[in-house]
Amino acid sequence: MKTIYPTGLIVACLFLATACGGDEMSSTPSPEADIDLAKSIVLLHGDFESVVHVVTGKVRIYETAGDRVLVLDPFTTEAGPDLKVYLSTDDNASEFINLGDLKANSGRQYYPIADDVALSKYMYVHIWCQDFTVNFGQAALKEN
Amino acid sequence: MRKTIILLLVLTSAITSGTFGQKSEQSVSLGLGVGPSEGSLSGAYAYQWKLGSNQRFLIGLGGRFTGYLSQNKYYLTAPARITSGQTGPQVFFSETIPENIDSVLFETTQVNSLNISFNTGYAVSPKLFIGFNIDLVGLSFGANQQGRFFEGNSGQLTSGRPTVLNLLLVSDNDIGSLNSEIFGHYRIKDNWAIRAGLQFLFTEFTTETEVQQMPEPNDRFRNKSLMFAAGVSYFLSN
Repeated sequence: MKTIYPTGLIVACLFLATACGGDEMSSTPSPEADIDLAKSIVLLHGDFESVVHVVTGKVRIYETAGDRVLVLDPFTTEAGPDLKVYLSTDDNASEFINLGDLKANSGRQYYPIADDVALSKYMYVHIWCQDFTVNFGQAALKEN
Repeated sequence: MRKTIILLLVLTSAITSGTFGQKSEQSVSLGLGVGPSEGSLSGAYAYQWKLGSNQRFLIGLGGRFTGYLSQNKYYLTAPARITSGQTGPQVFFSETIPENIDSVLFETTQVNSLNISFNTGYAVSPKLFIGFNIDLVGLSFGANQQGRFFEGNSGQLTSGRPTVLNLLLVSDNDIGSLNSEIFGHYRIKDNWAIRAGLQFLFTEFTTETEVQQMPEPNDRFRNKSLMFAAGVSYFLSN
């Protein structure tokens, strides 16, 4: 159980409110390497649901030419600082793999998945504000 | 053993009663430290001897309570043997090994510590005093907090509580939560002074398990805070 000591209450009033909001990212996707999705196999897919902020769209994990890539398309999210794309074991991201900084607040984007990541273990995708530990939105992955 | 105890008692009595002919000063202080998404509240007692022909140089010991609260702070691998690959005084001059440093991000932290402190300073004028103090040894307590451990691109949930023992050694050899200040105080009355300066505060958490495994198992993580500090001092004796 968390214990709040009196000093904490006094010092707490000094803090500025910290919210995982703000516009710190371009809304235009960055250029991606050529990936021929038509020749790729969909391994897993899911639909985003909003958690703390509004996130909509779909996520798919493709196997293409021996590599695996996570694709957000279509996709939109509210803006925020330090947004990451996480693969995780559950809806609380108890164990996670950081696939990198979110590249754009909307539009198609690609995130390579390392060969040593066991996809059977990581069945959730999160848009995660790392610095403030805020789960913007998530998608539960299903086999195709 | 009995002789040692008697000697300690005599020395303590002699020092505190000024038998050695040196004047002394006793003070209590209340201070507030403020930084980005963090803050501290401290209360301290100091007993200092006045040295030198002008008795402007003060040195002594004291005790300090520090309560620290923060939001969304990264705590980094603490032990010197991991951060620098060695222990001992030479750690002060050695480079940090970046690949050995992992972190735990705590959404909220609260660390309360009670330490014996070393105090020193110089009276620039009858009203203005420049001082420095640092915690030496003590204990910390606080609630268990949930955090996220990061190791490269992977991570996991963990939890931890403040490391109980505090001990000043050298650089990353330090253990636990230790406060230090460089400050100036200005006497507004005979027994009252306002003070301002910088506070450098180490806080340390021990995780419930050794979440860091490489290059060796580790459960100690440290945050270093530099905060603006302000407060008041009351002089029990001058």
